[in-house]
Amino acid sequence: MTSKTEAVLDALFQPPPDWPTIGDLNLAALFDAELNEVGALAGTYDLFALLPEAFVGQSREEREGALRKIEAENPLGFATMLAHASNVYYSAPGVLQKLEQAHGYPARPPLYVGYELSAFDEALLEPQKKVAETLFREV
Amino acid sequence: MLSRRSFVASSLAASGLICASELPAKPAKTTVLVVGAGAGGAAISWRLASLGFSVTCLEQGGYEDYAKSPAADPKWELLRQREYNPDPNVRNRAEDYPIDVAKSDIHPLMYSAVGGSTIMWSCHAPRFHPSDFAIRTLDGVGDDWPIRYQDLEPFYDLNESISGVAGLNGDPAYPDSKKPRLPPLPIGLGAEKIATALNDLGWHWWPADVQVNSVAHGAGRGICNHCGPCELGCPLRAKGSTDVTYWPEALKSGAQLITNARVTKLISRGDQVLGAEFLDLNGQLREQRADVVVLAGNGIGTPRLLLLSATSEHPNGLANSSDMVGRNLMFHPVGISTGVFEDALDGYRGVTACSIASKQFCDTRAENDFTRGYMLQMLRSLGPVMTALGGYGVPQEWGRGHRARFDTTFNHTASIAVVCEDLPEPDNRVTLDAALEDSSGLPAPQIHYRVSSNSKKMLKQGRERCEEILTRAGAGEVRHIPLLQGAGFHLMGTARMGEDPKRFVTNEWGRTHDIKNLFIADGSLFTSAAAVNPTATIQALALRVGTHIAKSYV
Repeated sequence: MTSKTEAVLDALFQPPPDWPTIGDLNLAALFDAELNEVGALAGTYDLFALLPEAFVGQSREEREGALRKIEAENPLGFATMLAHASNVYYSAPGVLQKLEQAHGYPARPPLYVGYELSAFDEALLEPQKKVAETLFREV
Repeated sequence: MLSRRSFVASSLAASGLICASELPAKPAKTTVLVVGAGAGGAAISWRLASLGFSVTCLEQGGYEDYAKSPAADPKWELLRQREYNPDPNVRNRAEDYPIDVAKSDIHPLMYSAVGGSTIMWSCHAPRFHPSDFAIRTLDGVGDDWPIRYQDLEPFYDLNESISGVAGLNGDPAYPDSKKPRLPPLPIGLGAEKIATALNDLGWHWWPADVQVNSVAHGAGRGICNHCGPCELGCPLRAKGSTDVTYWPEALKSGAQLITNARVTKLISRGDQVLGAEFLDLNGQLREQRADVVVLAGNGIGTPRLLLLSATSEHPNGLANSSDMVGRNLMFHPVGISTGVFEDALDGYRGVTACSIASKQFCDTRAENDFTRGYMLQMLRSLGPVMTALGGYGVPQEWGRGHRARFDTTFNHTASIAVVCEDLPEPDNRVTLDAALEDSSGLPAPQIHYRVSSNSKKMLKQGRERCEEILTRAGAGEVRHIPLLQGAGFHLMGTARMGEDPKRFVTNEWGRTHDIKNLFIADGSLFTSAAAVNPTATIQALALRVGTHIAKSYV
């Protein structure tokens, strides 16, 4: 870990060994850049200041423990920080590529390719068509 | 044959589309002035222009630039939370006005552009049911509409033939008729599971009526490619937003559409409206005179403008001798239940917000502890960012458990929205805010709204029904959002139609009781809210009002 932000993101998402690391993805820089642009995220610096000095060099387990302590004491601020971290992490191309491998979810935006879907199977409606009564009241 | 792009470009350049700042200070008088280019404003503008009337429409937003579509951006899920958020208070664009929601349980959503909120609309377009128009007669609550389903039926047909609605005839929730329908859209794996569960339970469902091209329909429009986030606007022009349905045809018929025009007030004298004052992008005040004025600024914008148009002759606001302008604001209170399934459901494929709908619980039942009812609307699933953020109420873990939890929920959920019929209550209302202003210094609307005990009971029962359905469908875990605060999609009732001028703002033709040449053509007109999405009814009403104006002013 080279920075507090990188160490936090790693503790939050704990990428498995076959996934790119936070450092590989350069996510700490992206995370920090937005902190300066989005006013609602400004409190994140205050949260990070509460982390122990040795945080960057700690094990994942120790870092998770430190973060859980902060979450308990500052639930709203922590939730804001976690949401920002999730936005950054799950927008990263390297993470999306792993999701494509794991879930088949294509690592691209929805447009313009779109997706294939099977046509509606009207046979599903057979039980509904057998219902004799209507569902509406005449006026 | 023109390509889609050249067709749209030629339609817009046909002369009728003008930015407000390009106009003279006092443009030539028009016969009909329409305020707002969204669902209702577009429909009525087309109707009157196609019948040969001189029509001018003032729209505070601009034309949507689909070349910048967020759905084609790798950060589309982030953009949806910010610049393309449906909440104007979050989006905060120059053409938006802020809304004071401190006293509201539900936050209104809307969009300012040609096409209005249909740009960000999830395109579910069911009709109201016959009983929805007579809730006082049938159930002793609210008020009857001054019209019946049959009065609106030909206008539903007309709207659907223009807009293009994918669906299937034969739904037992409606009178038997040959509605204009394109083939139904694919419903996806999650909805198939839910449909099977509904069949097992003996409860109604039917493919949703969706204003989306499942096949080719309409000049210059494309076919849905099931990309998913319709709410971000549809560059394929497969979704029936009115910038691609009514507006190209209205402009071809000679309508004039003035964009970036913020109407500040209506000009009136006695029981006549003379036109409107509006600001262009540069803040220059202009004036448009007209024989007839139609307001279509949505259920919040329209009452706001009427209240802003107070004069010494109309001290309580224009068309407001009844004190009913802004009152009886109705949303559809929404809860969401989500099932987590073992199977991958590919719920990111296809129209996100609707696939099938159940009307089983829409109507009043003797055994219930509430009156009227709710619709169940099936939802697909979310992208990775929104999944990580705990969207649709499925919480995520961070730390050690994160990867496993995410991987068992992402692409493994299907949801059901409980959409409740709100009843009209005078204290739920829109007023002018004493402190908050828009960027032009005009008072912002303030929303006073509390979810009723009737709606809370509906939400509770709906939640229980969803638990039953999702469990029957095979979900191993079911989560609930009891009330979605950011679900003010549907804005209704703030200038209701009815016969009594002391209790209602307009008559059955959308004409205000007080001002004889002032009409309304949006969700403000709704006498009651039903338990289904309002856009089809807004558009049918607008076509009916337009037809009446045409007959009256020939």
